[in-house]
Amino acid sequence: MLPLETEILETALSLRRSGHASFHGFGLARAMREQSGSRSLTGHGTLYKALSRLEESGLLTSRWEDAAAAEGRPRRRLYELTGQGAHVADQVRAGKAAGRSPRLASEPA
Amino acid sequence: MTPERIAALVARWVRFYTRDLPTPVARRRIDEIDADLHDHIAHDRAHGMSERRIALSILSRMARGAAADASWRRQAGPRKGHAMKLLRALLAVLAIAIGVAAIAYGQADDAPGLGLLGFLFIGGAVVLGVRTFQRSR
Repeated sequence: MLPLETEILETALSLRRSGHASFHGFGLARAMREQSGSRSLTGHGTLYKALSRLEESGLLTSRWEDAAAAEGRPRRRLYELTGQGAHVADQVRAGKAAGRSPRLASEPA
Repeated sequence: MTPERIAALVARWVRFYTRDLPTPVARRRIDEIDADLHDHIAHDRAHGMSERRIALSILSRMARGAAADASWRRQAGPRKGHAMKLLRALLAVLAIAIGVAAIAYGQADDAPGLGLLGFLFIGGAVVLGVRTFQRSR
């Protein structure tokens, strides 16, 4: 798993714990920028390729936003952590807290 | 350079690299980036960012993600020799254009980092062009 993918999972877990179970691409890019203290947002291609890989791995799931909720703007693709994704994100976070390289298994132990 | 113009450039780039892909795959990527661009412009305007900075931010995101776009394109669709060469050539031209713009803006803003980024883009484009040429021989 790439560092960006673990960063996405950690950010998704933070968002979920703060009451935002689902997130969209730009919102995620902003949240990641805030968490990392970076000045720039993740590139479009880099971000959506990583999201696509995480979804294919079963760590994220996604759906289109309801047209009514979009209120005239382009509909967002909404992502959510799966149970497996939350488990991996927890592992990553625990690994970092323990000061060691996280075990990046994509399956529950 | 307005945010809308740069967003239109990004949208054209997305339509270019998703052409020939299965419609649902292409449509999803196009719609997702369109929503991202809309959200980006709306958010930055709401926070009082200048139009020029918003445009540069979008341009920077496109440029930094272009290699991943090409990689994703290779994985998402059937490999087509001619199409891939064309994509690489376009990517190189795009990188040179962005590099020149970054150097110009870097000098205007007295921002050496932006200028360095421009040189890196141009260098990357040259490497990409040479590799494409060598593979085609």
